Amino acid sequence: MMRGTPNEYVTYNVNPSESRARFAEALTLIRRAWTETQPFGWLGRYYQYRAISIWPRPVQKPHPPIYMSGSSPEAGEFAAQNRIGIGFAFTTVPMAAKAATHYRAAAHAAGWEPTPEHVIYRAMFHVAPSDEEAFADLSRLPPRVALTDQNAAISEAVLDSGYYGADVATQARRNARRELAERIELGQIIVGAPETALRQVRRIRDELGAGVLDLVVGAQLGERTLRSIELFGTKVLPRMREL
Amino acid sequence: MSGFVELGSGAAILCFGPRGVTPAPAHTLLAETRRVILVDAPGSKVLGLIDALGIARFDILAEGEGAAAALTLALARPDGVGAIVLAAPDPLGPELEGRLGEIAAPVLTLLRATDDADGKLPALKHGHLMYVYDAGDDMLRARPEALAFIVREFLERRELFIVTRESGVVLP
Repeated sequence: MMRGTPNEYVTYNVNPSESRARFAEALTLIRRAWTETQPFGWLGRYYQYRAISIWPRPVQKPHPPIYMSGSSPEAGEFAAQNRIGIGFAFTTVPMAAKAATHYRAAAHAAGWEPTPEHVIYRAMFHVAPSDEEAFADLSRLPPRVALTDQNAAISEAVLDSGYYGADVATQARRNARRELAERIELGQIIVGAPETALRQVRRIRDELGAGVLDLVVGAQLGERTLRSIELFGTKVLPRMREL
Repeated sequence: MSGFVELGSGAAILCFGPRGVTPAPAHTLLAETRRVILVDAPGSKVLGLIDALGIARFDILAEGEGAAAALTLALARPDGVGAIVLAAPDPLGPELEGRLGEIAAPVLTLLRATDDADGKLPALKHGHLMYVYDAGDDMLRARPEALAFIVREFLERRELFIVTRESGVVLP
């Protein structure tokens, strides 16, 4: 479950300052819809329904495991209080490690201890036979373009809305534009030969305590991307299981 | 006459609950369009009070422990009761629960979003369930606008309330 990203609030014309309150209510409502066995209405602050009845019912009881993005202190505290897992994406390993520590402390205060399976880290990956080749492949990609980066007014208005919460200095630069070498160094992207990729994966586990890795194909480079997936599956994944 | 307080004018709503005759913010909002009568009298005196006030037809809004008084009244005066809203009702007890099937009036049960309906929802013929988000310990105080809105909707439109009449127009 994700609060979303600033550009989505801009696109759908939803006030970003209400995003956390909306998310909290939506999560409570979804959990109720998954568990309530009779039709029910919902009198919320942001959502109102007269008759909710979902089918098919979830297979898992009481419901499937829930994860939410947990990069900000507010999100980590909310996840801890609601006993749900957290996921990190579009961040760096040091930033995520700090946020995971905050989440675990908040969970401890709420009377429970998250396991490694409660923490997901999402990273893009690109594997090639050698480090040099993998690096060269990704160097060919055009720079990332995001709506909120391209329009100063949008960026300023989202910042001004309080969207990023109390830790605004960190949150607003999670996704800052960085050189490829720096992104690799920060664990934002897994790039290199299988041995290098494995080392980067181990670091994510050791520094962050993430028990689940969410891999995203880092580059659409045709045959080279297919080779990357295959190398990851045959040379990295089997050894990850031994970590 | 003691044991009651009246607010507003219009079709009558009899209100029962732990706060007695002290109105909650939701009662005050309802009184803008309705005659709200807060009742704090033992069950045996309620019928006498209604007759003395000359109220032949009424709706009911009951909170917590007031749910039992409300449903007992509905059983005693089936022709008088229009519709009933129970806000976070307390358990009714086996005797009353055994007679719920006799209640013909539509009943909307409002529960806090943090509560579970299991075992808390009266087995009614024309019952509707609705969860109130952020209801706190006292939903009539925590969410007065929301409560007044849905109570008015249900009492005025009864089971047709299931289909909203709120306009979706954003900017006329």
